[in-house]
Amino acid sequence: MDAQINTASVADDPSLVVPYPKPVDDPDREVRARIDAGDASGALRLLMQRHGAAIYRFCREALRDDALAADVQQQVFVEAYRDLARFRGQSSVRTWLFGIARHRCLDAAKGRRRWTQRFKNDAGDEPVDPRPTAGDRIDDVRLRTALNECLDEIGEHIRTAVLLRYQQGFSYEDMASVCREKANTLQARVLRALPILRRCIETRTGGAV
Amino acid sequence: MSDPALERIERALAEAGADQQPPPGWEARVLAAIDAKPARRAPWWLLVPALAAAAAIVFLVWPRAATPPQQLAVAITIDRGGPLVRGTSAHVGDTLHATATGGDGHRAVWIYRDDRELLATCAGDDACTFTIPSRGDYAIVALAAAAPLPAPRGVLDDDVAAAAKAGAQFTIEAVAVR
Repeated sequence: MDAQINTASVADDPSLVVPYPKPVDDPDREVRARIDAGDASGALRLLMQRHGAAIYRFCREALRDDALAADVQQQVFVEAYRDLARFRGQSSVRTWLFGIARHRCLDAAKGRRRWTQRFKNDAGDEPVDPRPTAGDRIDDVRLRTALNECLDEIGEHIRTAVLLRYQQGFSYEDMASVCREKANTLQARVLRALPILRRCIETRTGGAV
Repeated sequence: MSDPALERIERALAEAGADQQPPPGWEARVLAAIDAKPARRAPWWLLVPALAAAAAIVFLVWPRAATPPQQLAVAITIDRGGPLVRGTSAHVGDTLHATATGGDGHRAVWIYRDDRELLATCAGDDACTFTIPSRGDYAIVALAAAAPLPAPRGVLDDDVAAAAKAGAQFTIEAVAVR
């Protein structure tokens, strides 16, 4: 439910004025309580327990590489531990953590790109799926397989935005905090990506989504 | 959004990687990385005489027959009643043999189910033999340390972090039992 603001009563009663920056109501309150109490180790354990699997899943799909995703996941939590004391609570803990994860994933993708450009092997490119069933609606298994391949074909910035939105369920406002970009820009990026993915899936499978 | 095709893609995206799990022991690796504090960097000019002295020492006392320490590894074979097979999947009732090799000093193998149940501990160089009692995700941890290893308590991440803190090397392999 959206908050209703009665401007007249705010003017009458200074206690109703919301301080800036507005503290975020965070489901990870317990993590923040441990940070505030100086228990960085306890906060880190809670963070890993609650968000470890989601961060790995995000990095795995963003990077399309199990081993690299595991390395990045480790970096994310080591960096989070290092920066816990500086966390100011201007976003939720989850948003903050995914901000680190996205950054590290993009760095890792850039490093890998530099490496593969140097040792590029054209034979490694995947051929287009040759199973045509023109006009037929493709089944879920083929959809997932083709989607998986098509995610490889969109740029990392678009892929991470799409994953934050649909895989992790972030609102565009929260994504703006994660990506440090405007919510409208991110929304446009995500909405443009969907038809691209659709075309790619239909080209690969020869069927209709 | 009203296009059913795009909605279908959105649903598939929501499930992307749903079956992906972080590798076993990842929390222990994070804790170990945090415990390994970086050494303070010495001023660069101190490096010159230090490197010269190190080079002289290496030249004078290099052991002619020295062999580099072998990397710690764990070899896993699964006995299904027929020939032994190497692998990362097994069935209930199979016998698992895990052997730690390489590393220095005291070696051990610890076997956990679902990261939270310690089912077997073996010390020394012999193969650790274990009959798989039930389904689950098993983690086979091989450790090596110059000093005796701390006794595991039963939670993989905590045990490996404690061992790493005590100076142990470790490596973890996963076996899925379905």
